[in-house]
Amino acid sequence: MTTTRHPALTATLWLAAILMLLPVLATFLNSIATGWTGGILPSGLSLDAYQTILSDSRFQSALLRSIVVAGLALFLACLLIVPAVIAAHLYWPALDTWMARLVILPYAVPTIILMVGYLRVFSAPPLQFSGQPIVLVLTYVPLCFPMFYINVKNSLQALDTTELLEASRLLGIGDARLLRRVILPSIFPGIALAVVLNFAGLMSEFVYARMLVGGQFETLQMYMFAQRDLSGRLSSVIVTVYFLITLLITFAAFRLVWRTETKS
Amino acid sequence: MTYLDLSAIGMRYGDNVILDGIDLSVAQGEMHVLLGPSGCGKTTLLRSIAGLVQPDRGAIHLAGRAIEKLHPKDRGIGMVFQHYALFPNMTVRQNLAFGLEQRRLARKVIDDKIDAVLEIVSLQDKADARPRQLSGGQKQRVALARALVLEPSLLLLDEPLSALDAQIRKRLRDELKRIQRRTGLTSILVTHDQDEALSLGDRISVMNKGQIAQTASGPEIFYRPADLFVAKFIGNANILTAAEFSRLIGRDFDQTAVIHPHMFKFGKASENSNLFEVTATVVETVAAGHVVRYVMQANGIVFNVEAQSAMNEGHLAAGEATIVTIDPLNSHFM
Repeated sequence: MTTTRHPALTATLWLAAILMLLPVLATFLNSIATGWTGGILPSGLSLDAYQTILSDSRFQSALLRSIVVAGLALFLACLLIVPAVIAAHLYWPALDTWMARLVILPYAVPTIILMVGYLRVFSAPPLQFSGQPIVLVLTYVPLCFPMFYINVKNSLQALDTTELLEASRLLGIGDARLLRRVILPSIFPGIALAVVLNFAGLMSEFVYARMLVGGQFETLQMYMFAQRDLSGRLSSVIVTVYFLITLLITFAAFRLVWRTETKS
Repeated sequence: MTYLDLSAIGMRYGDNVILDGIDLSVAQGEMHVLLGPSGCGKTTLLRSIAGLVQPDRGAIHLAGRAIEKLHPKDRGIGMVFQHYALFPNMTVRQNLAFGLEQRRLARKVIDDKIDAVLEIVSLQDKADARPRQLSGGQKQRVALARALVLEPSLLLLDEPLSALDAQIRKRLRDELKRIQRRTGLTSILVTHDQDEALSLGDRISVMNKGQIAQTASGPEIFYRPADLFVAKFIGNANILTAAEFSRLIGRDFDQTAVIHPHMFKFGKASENSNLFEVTATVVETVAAGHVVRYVMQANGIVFNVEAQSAMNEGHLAAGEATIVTIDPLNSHFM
């Protein structure tokens, strides 16, 4: 069966796609241009800017720092948030309604207030880590919470876990075994999606990094900020590289999801 | 002989009485149906038997063994859920094997058991399919197979057909009956659908407000309801109070009458018969396939009459007068 779509609808779809791709394409084009003034297209193309940036050891370290911090934060988030959301969903529905309300806190509280709070918490024992990279890792975890909560929760709701738990009790399958063999594999795509979205978010995070670890720990965004006056071209290269890495991670995550879905 | 015996099962939730002293005996090999409107306690009763909820009081004996204190898995009970509750990431075969693997059986034994059960539910060719690749009816057959493969002493079915559409529901209903006969498995099925109850149940318990209103065979429940609630819940019989029935037949009568629409006969009663004769006017006529449904009125009483239809026979039109008779033997008075 084929459905006929209204031409205007198709046109809108294309327009939306172009609108979303345009900044990415323009940034990429700018990153490989030799000059771009007065015309709709750049005057010449070269990869020199990439050469400059990619061979800059300061850039390499900044990129590595961002990836390590984001990776550690996501690892902690998976370890802490996922079990908490599952446990609340399965065994403590009353707690779950509170989680649903608190989930937006990291977005709802003004960042500046959060920062002041974090600075105080991390400047006194037992968490006297002020200015150390560990602070960034620890504060990124709650920042990941909303996206993890929403994705894990949606996956769980699609499962009808109450009936699954009851069915497995009658079949003599323990809760832990059901979790390991059925529930976790089934919500894995949701977790992977949360990881990808949060990774992209953390890679482009600037305010936390700037305020909590300042100049002692230059992340990708801070490096970009430092380069802002040098050349728009170099900034475009950094953004393009950052886009590519995010794309790569997304691709890897979806491959992983696809493989577990067809294998298990 | 009693195989499953429930005695004085009671449960309350705050001030709400959910189960009010339920006594029930089910014989071995019987398909017993719990029928009632939503909120009558039928599902809670089923879940009490399974051990998924713990009643406040009462005893449950299955095959001579007290099971009310046992963990669900130790009761020897299989259960089929309304929404199938299949493990979505596993194939049909893995779904069936998951429970068996707990019993530390040899792989070969597990495979043989699964093949045998898949044959019973006619799903041999779907062994490697995943739940999302199956239709609703197939999913429910997998759920049934998953319960059967553990060879339970008792099978519980919680509205197993209600999530399916009408066509498939009917087919699966017949198949369920066939499988239950073939395996000889004592079963309890919960439903709010009277057609399902009447066509599946060897015996039916009609429940109302946490109590069993009547336990009997299908025809008994249909033609001889124990009380007004059962009479109203089953079928669409004319239920006339003593006063209404007296007016209809034109003489004094002191019992409530339950008369099924298809039990009226057209034409005059013969001399000296004990039939009640009523001269009625047709108010409304609906020709619906193999039956014609009339709404009639006599002496100010409105009632429903149903007659078999035939291609070349006309039917009465609204406004026409006719004579119908009521046979006391085919009516129920209480």
